[in-house]
Amino acid sequence: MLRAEDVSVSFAGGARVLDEVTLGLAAGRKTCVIGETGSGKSMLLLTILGLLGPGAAVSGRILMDGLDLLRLSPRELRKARKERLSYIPQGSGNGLNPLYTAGSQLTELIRFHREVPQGEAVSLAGSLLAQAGLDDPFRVMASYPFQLSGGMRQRVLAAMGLSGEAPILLVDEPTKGLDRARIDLMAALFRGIEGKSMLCVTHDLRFARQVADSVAVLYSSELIEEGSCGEFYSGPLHPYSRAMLAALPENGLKAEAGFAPPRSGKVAAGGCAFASRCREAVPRCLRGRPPLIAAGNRRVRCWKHAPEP
Amino acid sequence: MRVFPERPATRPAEGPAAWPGGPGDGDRKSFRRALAARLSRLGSKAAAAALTVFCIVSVNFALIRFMPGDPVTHIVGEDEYLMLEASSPETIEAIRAEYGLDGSLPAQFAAYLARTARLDFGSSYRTKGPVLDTALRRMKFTLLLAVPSTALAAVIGGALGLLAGWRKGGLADMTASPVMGLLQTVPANCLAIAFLLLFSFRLGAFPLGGITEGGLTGAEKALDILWHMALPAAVLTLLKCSSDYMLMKSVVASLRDEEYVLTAMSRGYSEWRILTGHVLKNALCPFITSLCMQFGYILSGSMLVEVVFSWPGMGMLVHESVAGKDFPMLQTCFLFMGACVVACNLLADALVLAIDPRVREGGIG
Amino acid sequence: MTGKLGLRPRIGAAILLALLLAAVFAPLVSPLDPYEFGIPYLEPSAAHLLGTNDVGQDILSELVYGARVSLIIGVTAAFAVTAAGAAVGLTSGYWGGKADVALMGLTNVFMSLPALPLTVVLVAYLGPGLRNVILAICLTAWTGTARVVRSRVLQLKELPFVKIEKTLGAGPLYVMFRHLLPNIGELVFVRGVLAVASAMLAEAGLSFLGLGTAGAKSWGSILHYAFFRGGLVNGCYWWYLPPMICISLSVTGFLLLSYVGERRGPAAPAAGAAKGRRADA
Repeated sequence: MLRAEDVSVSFAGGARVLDEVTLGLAAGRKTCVIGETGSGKSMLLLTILGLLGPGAAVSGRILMDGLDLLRLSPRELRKARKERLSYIPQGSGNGLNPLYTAGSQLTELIRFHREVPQGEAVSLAGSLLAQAGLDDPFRVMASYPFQLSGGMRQRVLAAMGLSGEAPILLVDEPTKGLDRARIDLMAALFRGIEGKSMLCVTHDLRFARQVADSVAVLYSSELIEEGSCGEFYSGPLHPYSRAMLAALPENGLKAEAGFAPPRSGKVAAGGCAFASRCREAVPRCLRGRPPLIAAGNRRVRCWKHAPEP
Repeated sequence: MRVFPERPATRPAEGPAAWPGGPGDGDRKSFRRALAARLSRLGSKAAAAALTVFCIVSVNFALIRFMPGDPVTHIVGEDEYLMLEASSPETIEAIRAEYGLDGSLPAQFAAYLARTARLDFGSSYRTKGPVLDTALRRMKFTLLLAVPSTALAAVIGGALGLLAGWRKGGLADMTASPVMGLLQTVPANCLAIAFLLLFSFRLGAFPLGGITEGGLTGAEKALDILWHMALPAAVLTLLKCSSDYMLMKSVVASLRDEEYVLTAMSRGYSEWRILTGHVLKNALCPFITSLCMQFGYILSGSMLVEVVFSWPGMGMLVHESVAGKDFPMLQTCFLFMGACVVACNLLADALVLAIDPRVREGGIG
Repeated sequence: MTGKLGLRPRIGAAILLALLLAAVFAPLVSPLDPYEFGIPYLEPSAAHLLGTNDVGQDILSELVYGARVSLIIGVTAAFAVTAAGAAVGLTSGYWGGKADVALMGLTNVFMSLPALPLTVVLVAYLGPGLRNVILAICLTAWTGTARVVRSRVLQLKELPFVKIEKTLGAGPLYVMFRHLLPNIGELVFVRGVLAVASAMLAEAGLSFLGLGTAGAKSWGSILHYAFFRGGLVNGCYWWYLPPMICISLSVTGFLLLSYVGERRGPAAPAAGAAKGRRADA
């Protein structure tokens, strides 16, 4: 469906935000990309959408239905965005234009996708908002974004993302700024989406577990682990993933000893990016950067899982 | 369309007719609340405007009072005063009494305020006629010059700035930025002189100055005025254009990274649609505010331009009055110009109120 | 700030340095006494590099001495204006509350006063002269700096290091001078540089209207005489062009210098450039 191959992104001045990320999204499946702030996960979405701006140098390929998204003309890119991709930004940010009502933005989008009269677009919008779990859709439609709560904005944005026929959803941090109960509601909403592939970026491990079919972990601009949701949560391979999962409340809030905060800047050029924080690091980890190593159906970027030479 | 199968699509009973809702949408209470919020906002702005006008009047009062010498000198003029002093000192005393200059300071101030409220600004030293008539007529000419220039500059500078801010390093940016940057460094009178030299002296395409040849009527007169207006208006437009351009460019450049603009792009909307539909409206608020706030600058600029082109506006009047030490006229001109700027600021507030729902519904601002 | 200046501030500094040297060493630099009468309307020649005016004064010498007056007025007014504006902005932003309301009300009132007309009226009353011109320019020009500084202080006030200092019991003056002032230093410097440019423009406008420094030569007054005493009609380009160029050049110099925050080398990408929330725009 959608496949990123060796995608690297860096900005003029040397800041590298993605480093040879290879990631696939199967038709009808939901993948959550997990990572801490600054790991480059939101950049991945913007790269797919071609929204990085002129300052970014992008290499690699992003394949969708045989097209390489990174090599489309602006016109083809617009067509791809309109017909194939659908982006759902954070509800906590200002993904909605502050000067228009939620309703007018939703109906504009609906009428962009199909030629319907305004009245019909309005009723379609109302039913979409109701499906997205908003109790009083027509009041929400008459409201300006600043009059809505973060959760409501997130639902409006979700409804907008689902208003077209695009088969691929790209979702950015849908849980940001929400409390636990609302995150669970949001998870139910996204879990219930059928017939679309979804790439969702989040730092919320619990949300990812509720929503995803498969999970990918980004650490310091690199993909370090990828696998099915069940396998990942029952037995994470990478020390970083293990440390993250161990720190979850249901796993006893075990903050692993030796899990030091990252040093500033890029550590140990040539070595594993996580080596400086890793309890299990061996000399080899500092010398060479591990490749993505297949482990069953999963892949992990850690020397421990490398076959003995 | 069936993306959430477990949740039936409920449609409210009233259907789409209940939308599109304006403020409150049939809900009287919230509508009234919104209206009250708007009015109180506008009211507080109007109060601030009134305060500003009051300050201008006070400055005027203070100027006569605290100037060295007898205040009557500044009312009748120096020559007249010396003459009266010699011939009939009782006339001076009569004037002093008439203007309340023999009372206490607060009483004088009250008398001054009362006269100002009646729009009685006294008579000019030079023409001996009432100041008000002259000032109003000259104000009209200044506005004839300044308003179209401001509007034209806002449209041209705004449009170019919009394009240049959207595509940094694009065609609009690369061509307009150096020109506009250069214009920023040229004083109004220098540009005016350069235009006068080039188009009037060298090419002879435009008149040397003034507003009309006289003796014309109807459409001919209007055309003649337009012909005389062309150069001063062009100078003002160009100068204002450059600051409007810089402003719009920086506003749009900062909006470009806003999440809703990225989101709009992710939807596959055309750039034109994003620019005119989503970016422009958001850029308008800071743009309009600054535009109206800077009306004072255009009055300043127009003063110099008027002098160069002998355009009989307010600026020219001030220039003449300074030369003739015509203090009543100067004060009135200053008051009128100040009132214009204040009115423009109020207009900006009203426009922003109309555009931005966050300000309108009493959210922020 | 040293050694890493971008191209634009370097050019600006070079222009201004040349002007400053000419102004300081005017008696050495200028070929003749600018007040000495001679043969009027002379075209540029070896004796008078830029010709003479209607009373035969050497225009190049006028320009060199004019740089003194223009720079003195510009720099003095800018210094006063920036100091006053920064003080108001700092106080208003840091204390907030009633002081903020009062000071910002005052600022808004002064902002609404049309600058050049007020200056003209003031100078007309006070009489021309260096001091009065500076005073009149200062009266309205401080408002912009006050607002900019205030909004920066409002941002800084919310930063942890300031909050921590306050929690630890640091007095307001200590926090203002020790922590806030260094952080708004560059901003204030830039505002100051821009203030010089606008004060010079204001002086040029006033002098052009015949309200400048009585007697002393400034670029605006040279232009005044060139315009009102027939320089234009007689086509004496050497009379009216040089002061115009000098004014524009020095304004350009100050504008370029105001890009002092711009460093050499590739523009910093700022983490999350695509998300693009630059802390200061």
